[in-house]
Amino acid sequence: MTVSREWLRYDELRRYVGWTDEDAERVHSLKPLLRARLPELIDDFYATIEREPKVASVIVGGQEQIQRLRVSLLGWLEQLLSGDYGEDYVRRRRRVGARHVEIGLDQVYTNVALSRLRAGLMRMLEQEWAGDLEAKRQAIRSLNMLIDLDVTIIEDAYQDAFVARLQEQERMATIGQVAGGVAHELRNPLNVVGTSAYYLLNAKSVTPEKYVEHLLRIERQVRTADRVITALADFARTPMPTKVPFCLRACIDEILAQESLPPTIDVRVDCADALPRAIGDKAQIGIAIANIIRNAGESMESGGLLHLEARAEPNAIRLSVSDTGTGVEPVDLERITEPLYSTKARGIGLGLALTKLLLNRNEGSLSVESTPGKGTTMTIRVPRVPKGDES
Amino acid sequence: MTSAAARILVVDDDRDACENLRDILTEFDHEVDVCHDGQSALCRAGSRPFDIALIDLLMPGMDGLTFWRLLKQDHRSTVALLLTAHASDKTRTEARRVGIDRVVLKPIRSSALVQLLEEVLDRPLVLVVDDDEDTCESLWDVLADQGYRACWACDAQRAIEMVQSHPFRVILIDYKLGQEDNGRVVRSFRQDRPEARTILISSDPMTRDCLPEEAQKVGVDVIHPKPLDMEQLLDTVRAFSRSERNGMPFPECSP
Repeated sequence: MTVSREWLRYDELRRYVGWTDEDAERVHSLKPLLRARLPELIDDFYATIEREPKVASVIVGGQEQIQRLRVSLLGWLEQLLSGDYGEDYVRRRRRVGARHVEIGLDQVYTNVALSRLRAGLMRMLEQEWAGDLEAKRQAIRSLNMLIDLDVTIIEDAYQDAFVARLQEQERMATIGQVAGGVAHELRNPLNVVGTSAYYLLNAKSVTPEKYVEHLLRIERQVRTADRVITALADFARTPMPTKVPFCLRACIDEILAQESLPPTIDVRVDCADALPRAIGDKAQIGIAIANIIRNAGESMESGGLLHLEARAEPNAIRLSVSDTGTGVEPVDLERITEPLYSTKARGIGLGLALTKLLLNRNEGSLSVESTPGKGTTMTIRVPRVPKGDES
Repeated sequence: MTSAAARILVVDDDRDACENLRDILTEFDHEVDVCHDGQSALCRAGSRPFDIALIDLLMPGMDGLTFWRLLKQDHRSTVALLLTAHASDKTRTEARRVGIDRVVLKPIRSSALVQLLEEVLDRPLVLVVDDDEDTCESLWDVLADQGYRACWACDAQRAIEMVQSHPFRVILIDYKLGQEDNGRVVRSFRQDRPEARTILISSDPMTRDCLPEEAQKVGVDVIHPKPLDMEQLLDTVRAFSRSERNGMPFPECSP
């Protein structure tokens, strides 16, 4: 028989409070004393619920449901006095917590309800007990310990179910967010493909030039749509970085050559002399830097100054990329590295999120400072070859 | 193609999308102007009004709704359609608030768009002339909501220019009898648009019961007293917008 995680947890908690088989025996010995009076507790329990609107509101099945609940509460109380506190016992206790998350009953009501049941049991025990006082004291101690353990595992199960539900909600929200972002970025190219098809099918006379023009347009937009999907797929599975020493200066020069910024942007690169080599996945860090440079370029539509400055720090190389572009509003600043957050008219909002992810994977970091209307400085730090190891 | 060729403005930063709309709408004999951003579209709009503006929502710089708010100030008869790949409830509410006629989702269904444009162009043009801008705006909202292409002018000169450039079916004018200037305005309407019907809106108690000779002489068709009974006014606008001037007798004065 496999032992469940839940059972092991219960067993651990029992050890913690010092529960023994003797405790189980003592509680079990109370059964003949209290059994006949358990229905009184149930009456009191449901009378209390009726006075509490918040609790009563989650019982939507009327008298029929209350009847079922009375039966299961009786079962619960009988099991409490059964002396058998095995896996089935734990499963039924945990079921209470999970069920309360399903119906939306706050855990505090379980705690106070159990407190009330406990008080009722103690009152009856006082009334029914005929033995010596020391034995009664011990029985009370054991019963309290068992009820405390019950409260604990019900609450534990409640937490588990609650967290699971929260994660499910977050997953759904993320799917919604992705769907919204992707929908926007895909519908635009689809729109062009669709209208080109309509034109080619319905125009009275299409010249060969027009025909080619529309086919080229369709081809171009299909590529755009594909880029969106590739970006999303790349983001979802970034490969593990291969970390090796590399020259950051050379990496920057390659990126600047590839990005071909407009001539209205003045680019200045200031790398410290004898800059130590960086350590990381050159391709991944390259993508991160390229994204930052592209963003800077896009923020300076009517030209400006792009300033890159690389300096050695004791444990890292710092590269700051400053632009004189539109800047980022403070309200957007906190969120621009979140996936699917975009302030641009076009764009899925993955560029900076991917940049941050890639830098983190390479034990680097990204920080952003910006003044709207003045410009933005993005600073990245990547690990460096330790002092003295340069060869 | 039932409606006449129209002047259509397309504003979208996606050049391919613009060129496709140009190609399709040109097939239907419309005159199409394309701009890739709001600022240049505002310059292009100039003095000659567009019948319809197809506006992309998300554009770098100025977004579609801001562009329409600015264009609307000078081009009130233009009917605006907002084109977007994704319209949140907030966008829809804001679009309604600034007087966007319809939100069209991308990818657009071209045949449905062509049909929608025909339907828009078939809507009668109505002009409101009143020196009180609030009155003009309120009437614009009501008329646009009732399916008219509405337009307003707050002074005589602008009203005359508009009538010259737009084939209005109905003109509502706040008219103070005895003021020579207003008589000239209505006469000018009659001359430029003989087919248009003129509704005089008046707060003068003398004019409540029937159409004074003076008003008839300059070419007013009917009087609606202030405060306006909107139901009655809309009935008149509806009747006038459907009728040809020569085919229908002058309606009776409002009771």
